[in-house]
Amino acid sequence: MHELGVASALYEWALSQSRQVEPRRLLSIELEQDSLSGLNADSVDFGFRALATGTEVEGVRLEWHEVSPTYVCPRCSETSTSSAAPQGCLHCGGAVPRLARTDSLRVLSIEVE
Amino acid sequence: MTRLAVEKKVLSKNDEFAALVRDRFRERGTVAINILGSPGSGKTSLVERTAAWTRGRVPAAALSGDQATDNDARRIREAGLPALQITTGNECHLNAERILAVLDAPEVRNARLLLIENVGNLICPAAYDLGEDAKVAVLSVPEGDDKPEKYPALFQRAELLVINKIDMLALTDFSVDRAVAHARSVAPHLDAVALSTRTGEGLTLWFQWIENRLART
Repeated sequence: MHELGVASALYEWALSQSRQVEPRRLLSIELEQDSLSGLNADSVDFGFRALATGTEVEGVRLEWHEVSPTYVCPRCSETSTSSAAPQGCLHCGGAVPRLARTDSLRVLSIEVE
Repeated sequence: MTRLAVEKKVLSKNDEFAALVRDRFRERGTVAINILGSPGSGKTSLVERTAAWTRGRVPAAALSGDQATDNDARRIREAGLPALQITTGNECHLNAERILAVLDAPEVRNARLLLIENVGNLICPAAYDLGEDAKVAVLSVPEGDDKPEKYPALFQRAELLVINKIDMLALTDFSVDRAVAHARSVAPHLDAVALSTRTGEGLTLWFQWIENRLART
């Protein structure tokens, strides 16, 4: 249900980017979503399209990539990605890595005309 | 056509507010606990039970998030804890901006312990950092012991698993050991306590966990 909030944040950001790249046109936004983000990409797409209708970002495509979540070791602070919760740190072996606080949805790039 | 690299978190606005909230908590020495779980898992009753324990021990307050009504804040106030209701309307989670907006309210300004009862939901609230010290996941016996594997994001982000309503164990196939095993399969770091907010059994473990968190800050 919080997809609409995410779509709205994305829409506002897309508008600001669209104005920055003028006179070129914003065509697409490449997104990276971790598998624990709890987000339904179709719902974000739907919300984004609804908000964008009739604005300068109408027609901008969202391109999705799903990646494994990032974990941080509380002892050595090294990060690693894993599809399953790691049982120990691969770097120091001393502690159980924790899910990174936030980075479940990131914009990687934009495509402009 | 040109592709331009960006690298931006979509929820970064919330993260900025969360950092402000965290700074304020640090300045005040407030320990904030974000309590998450399904509707009906017993989040409010856990806060009610904690209200009695805090009396004479630690200045405490509560924030309660719901889509509608101030029922929970009223219940918590009746239990003796200053409490504010945050009504989220159509939103299914609390966000850091909403927390920041109430931090100077007289009910919460001087709290050393702040219990934040999030909107009942196992998915969305886990994605939002509220600037808290720790997230606590509440799972109740009638929900079934496999929920941690079905909703891993919440349990991975939590520090503590509270298994509530153990007074109902005899009525179900729920196994506390299995629930803890499921939770640790997705979140090996997780501490766990089993309790009943109705009978009071096991509550001392929860209070002990809070005392440890308070001692750390």
